[in-house]
Amino acid sequence: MKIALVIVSLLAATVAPALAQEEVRLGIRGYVDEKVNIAIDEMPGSPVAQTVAEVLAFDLDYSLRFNVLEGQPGVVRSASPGPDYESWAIFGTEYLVTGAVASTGAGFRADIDIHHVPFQRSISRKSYSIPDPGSPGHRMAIHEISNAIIRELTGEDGIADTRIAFASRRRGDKEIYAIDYDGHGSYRVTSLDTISMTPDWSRDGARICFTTFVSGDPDLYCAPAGGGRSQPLSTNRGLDMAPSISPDGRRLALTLTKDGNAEIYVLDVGGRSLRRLTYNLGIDTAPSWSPNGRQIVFESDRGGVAQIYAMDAEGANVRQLAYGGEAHSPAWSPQGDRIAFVERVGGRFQIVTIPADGGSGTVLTSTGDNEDPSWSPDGLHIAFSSTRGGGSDIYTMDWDGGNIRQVTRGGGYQSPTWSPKLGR
Amino acid sequence: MLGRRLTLLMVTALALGVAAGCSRKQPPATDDRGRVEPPPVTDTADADADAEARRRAEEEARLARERAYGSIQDMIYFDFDRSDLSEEARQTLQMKAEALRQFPDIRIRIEGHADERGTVEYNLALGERRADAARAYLVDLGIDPDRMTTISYGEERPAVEGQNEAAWSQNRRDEFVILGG
Repeated sequence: MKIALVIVSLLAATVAPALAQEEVRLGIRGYVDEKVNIAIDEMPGSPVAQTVAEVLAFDLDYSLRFNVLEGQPGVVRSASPGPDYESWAIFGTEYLVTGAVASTGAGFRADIDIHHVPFQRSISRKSYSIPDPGSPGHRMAIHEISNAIIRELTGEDGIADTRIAFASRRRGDKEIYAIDYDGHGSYRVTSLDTISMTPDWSRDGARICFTTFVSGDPDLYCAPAGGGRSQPLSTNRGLDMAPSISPDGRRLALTLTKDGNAEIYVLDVGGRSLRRLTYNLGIDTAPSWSPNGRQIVFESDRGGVAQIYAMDAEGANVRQLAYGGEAHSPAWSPQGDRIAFVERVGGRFQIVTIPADGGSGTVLTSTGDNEDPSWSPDGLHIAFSSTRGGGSDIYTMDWDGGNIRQVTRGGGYQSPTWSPKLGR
Repeated sequence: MLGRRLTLLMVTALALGVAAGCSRKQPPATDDRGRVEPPPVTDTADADADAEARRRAEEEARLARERAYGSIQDMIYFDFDRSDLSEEARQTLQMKAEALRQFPDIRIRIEGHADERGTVEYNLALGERRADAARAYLVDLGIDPDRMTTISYGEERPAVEGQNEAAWSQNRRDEFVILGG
């Protein structure tokens, strides 16, 4: 018993210094198969402290990398500083997050500790400033703490600092809105009093581009992601729609009908040169880039019914990827290995994923009509619109269809598009 | 004097243009071509008869124009996910062609629509295809393509709200908006 304890102590002494470095990262590269138990301690004090604890718990759970332990164990709060590691350990807690949140007069300061419970020590202590509640950056600042914790413990980028842009339909018009990925802080991006739809984020998250009828004929415009004046991007005769910005941010795949029917083109955003990729009588639309920028997946009804195809970014080597029912709106996963799209299954639209090189699909949804899949930047989640609750609302789910969460309420919401990471 | 008449004509033409531009379902109840009726010159029975005949002719012209507006504004409908013209749609378009031939000053905008099923982008492309199909057929029937513009609203402007075939079948349509004439 004593010997074992000594060994453990020795181990702790040698391993602990390395805790914050490469070796102890949880090493989640692809999809998540093992979660680590983490607890967020109560953060006593102001309502802001409580919000911090709640947001951290939500974000860490959402990340799919942690089991966030619910409830407070019988933790002994002694006068001595530092957490009661033994009590936390009883519940299998691997990591513990503690924090103190105090007003600075101009906002708040959160001092956040990450503890390794078995080793009974703090492995990280950082201070973060949080703007006052009600100011625009308040929740985003807390989400950035979550991301720092995720990075510290996994070496991976979290997605807590992301938003979802979407179109909101009211009285026949549509405006572009954005909302935090957790359903808080919805705000209006466009105020054009016309139909504006199918938003896409620029790769730096600074702008949102969309199709709009503002000049009568549908054109592509972009607006600052925080809202503001819209500027034209592509204004050909006929439809200019379905913008998809390449991973390097330099090219824009889009659908134009200026040469007859809907065809896919790539616009070199810097040089303004336009290259046509598809040539046939079917509707070719909804392009989405592979993460390395070398391929484009799209939908086409060239075979009679809309189906999913892929091609090189130059338009060559076109091949059909899925052979199911009517299929739309493909989205290439940021991890590159899967493509999500919409397929008519038994008369309703469902979200399906297939391996990027083709193969049999997995149906992820089953209730209502489900459309417009959009991947989170870490490729572990999918935003989509669904009529499962009556009207069309925005939801998110895990990559395998689990953990469906409602993001908007009230109906009239379509075309969700997940932002890149927006934090520092 | 000339200046005033011109102004009057322009105002009338403008009013006509606005009425035509705004009207979708209802033909404007304006008189033919915006001509201002001259006051009767004499008081004789002959002149009365002339005026009466002229009024009747103008009334008939107005009715003819109203009928033409009506048949031009008739919608055509499509099957699910299709943009080919049914026999019924062709007949409706033949009536439009006749009206358009009769009133060569009329220009139209063809608006393609889709039902809510399917994605926003696909439906926008489908709506455009439906508008193009009507336009191509009217061109085949001899109508000058320059008199027609097309636009697609996809699923964005349903004629009927509802999530059933009764609503959807009303929404898969082309609308025809009179722009001028």
